[in-house]
Amino acid sequence: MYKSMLFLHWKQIRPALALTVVAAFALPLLMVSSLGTPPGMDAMSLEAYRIVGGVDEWLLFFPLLAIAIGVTLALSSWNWDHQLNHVYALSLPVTRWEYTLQKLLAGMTLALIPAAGLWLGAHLAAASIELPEGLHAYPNELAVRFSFAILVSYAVLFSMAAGTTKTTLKTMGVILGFVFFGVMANDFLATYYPYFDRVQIVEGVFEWMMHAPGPFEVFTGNWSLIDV
Amino acid sequence: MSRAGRRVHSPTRLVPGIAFSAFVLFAGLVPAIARPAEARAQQSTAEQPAREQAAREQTTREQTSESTARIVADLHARLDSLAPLLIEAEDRLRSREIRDQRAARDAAAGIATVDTLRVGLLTIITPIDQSGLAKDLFTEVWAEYFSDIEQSNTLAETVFTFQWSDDRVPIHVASGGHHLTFDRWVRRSRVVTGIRDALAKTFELELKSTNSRVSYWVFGSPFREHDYRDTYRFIATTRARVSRNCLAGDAGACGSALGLDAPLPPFRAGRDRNQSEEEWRALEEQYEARQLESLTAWYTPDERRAMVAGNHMLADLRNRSAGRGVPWSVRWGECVEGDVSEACDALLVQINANAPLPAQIRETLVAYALERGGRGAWSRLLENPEAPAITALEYASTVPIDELLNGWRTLIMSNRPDTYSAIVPRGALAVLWVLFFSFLAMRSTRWRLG
Repeated sequence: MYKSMLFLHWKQIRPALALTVVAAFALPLLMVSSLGTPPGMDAMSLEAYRIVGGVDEWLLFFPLLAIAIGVTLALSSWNWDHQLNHVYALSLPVTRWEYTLQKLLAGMTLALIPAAGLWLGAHLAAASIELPEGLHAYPNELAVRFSFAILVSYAVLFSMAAGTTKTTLKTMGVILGFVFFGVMANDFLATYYPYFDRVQIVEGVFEWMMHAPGPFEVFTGNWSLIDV
Repeated sequence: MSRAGRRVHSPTRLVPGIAFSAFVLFAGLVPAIARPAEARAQQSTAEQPAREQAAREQTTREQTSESTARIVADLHARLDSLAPLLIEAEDRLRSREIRDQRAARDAAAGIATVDTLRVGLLTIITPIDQSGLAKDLFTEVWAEYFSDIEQSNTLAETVFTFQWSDDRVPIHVASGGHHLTFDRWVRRSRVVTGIRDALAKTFELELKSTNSRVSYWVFGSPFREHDYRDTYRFIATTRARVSRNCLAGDAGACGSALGLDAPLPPFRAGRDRNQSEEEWRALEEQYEARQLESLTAWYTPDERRAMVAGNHMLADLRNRSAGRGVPWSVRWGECVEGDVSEACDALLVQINANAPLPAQIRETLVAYALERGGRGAWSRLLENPEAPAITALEYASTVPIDELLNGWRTLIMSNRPDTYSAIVPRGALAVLWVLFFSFLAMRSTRWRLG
């Protein structure tokens, strides 16, 4: 069953996946492409801190690409179920959790393809430039982080897409409501209790989610291909 | 037929007469006719440019008036757009006047609207309803960052005003003071940072006012917030080998990379009026010789050559003077193309090449020295402005320079960016979250609702 799930998903997402693989492969190469020696300058002038500074502006694209891949995989994995009103799934002699698990694993397997693309691209990029002393390339580590980021975004969106539209809307409503009313409530409480001057609840929750042990820490950590 | 009667004018005989008459007539008439025509022509020739010019002027006038009209219309439109701003400004001015009048009334009636607080060495003026908040904030900042400072002349003369509100009270301080005003929506952490920055700036001014060797050496304030991870990254990635030797554990290399032994340019100390040109020149030569010594300690010959080759200013000077045989281009060629070390050094001395680690990194050493020195370290640092940086830092920190540099190096090393060292635990955490969300997906009730 896993194989058929994988095949079905693969068949549906093939073109989009090809694009993401190309993007993941090209991103590290694009990142190092600006690290050439300026015309008329000696190769020694390729200063290390300029390299670190030069690649910084590209770092944002790695987590963004990982999120995009995770979302694409998650939404496409439930696409045909939603279109056919789950008739095919219900006709199968399996429980729902088994069916969901197989689907999840199939998607995770496909997630490895763009990760492999990034791994190859990162290795190629690292090999294409000569790094000054003090700097190192981290293609394996970057690829591992990228894989985890895809898996987390995939799992989050997969769990949301697995529910009913009503459940998804409720979840989104709760999140948006928390952001909107949380800020207002914080300000209101601060007028009566000075403690809330010091503590911003919404900001605190977001901070927690974006840093360890929050779920989205993987997106905010170090994404450098080249660092000390 | 009479002779007279027969004297019929023969046409052949008439022709010369007619021709003559015609010639005379023509000769007489031509000038008469030609003169006005010529005059007209001349007048016309003379008038034509004038007319053209007049036409051009007319066109220009029209164009000018059109463009002027456009500009005026544009200005009117802009003026109109400024009207709301003017009204707003007038409203603000009016409300400020009302507040001032109210404050004056309250002052006359003996009702205080502001309170004066003392926190550490600080004097703070704040609206009376914010005095508790101001005391909390300033006490927190003072205790956290400045509690070791026992004495500060600048601080004793400085007054800070503090308002964290949208409705501000006018507070006038005769000496100017530092006005710390924050809108109500600004986060507390930002307010704390703002207070810290203002205090750090005050200490920076105090350091600069001493004209000490240390003040030239660091430029900024040692009390500002330092990102030690960035400091590590900077030290590890400068081109100079001496910086990396410092990280590897060589305290002497740390001192060298920081430029602790860097000579002070004579112009920094200022020129004495009584100093002759020869004396001044001798000082400059002395400085250049010391600068040359420092350069060889800071950079290897290859690094110095690379610095010249990669320096945009030198490359520009070389390009401008190429082929003219001027020293810049000659020396540049000798250094970069001929690999003559002396030529590189001469050029680097000319551009006042600095030590590998800049002033921002040096600030972290001063900050560490003050931390090591504890109470009174700040006063000790300012005590002897003429002392070289090494002596001043040793005196402030109360430890020998090698020990100080080793401690500073350890601090920097402990802030080494983790890069990917935490990839395994963070990866495990990510897997746990994936499992959690997968569990949620499997718990969905869609089929039961279906």
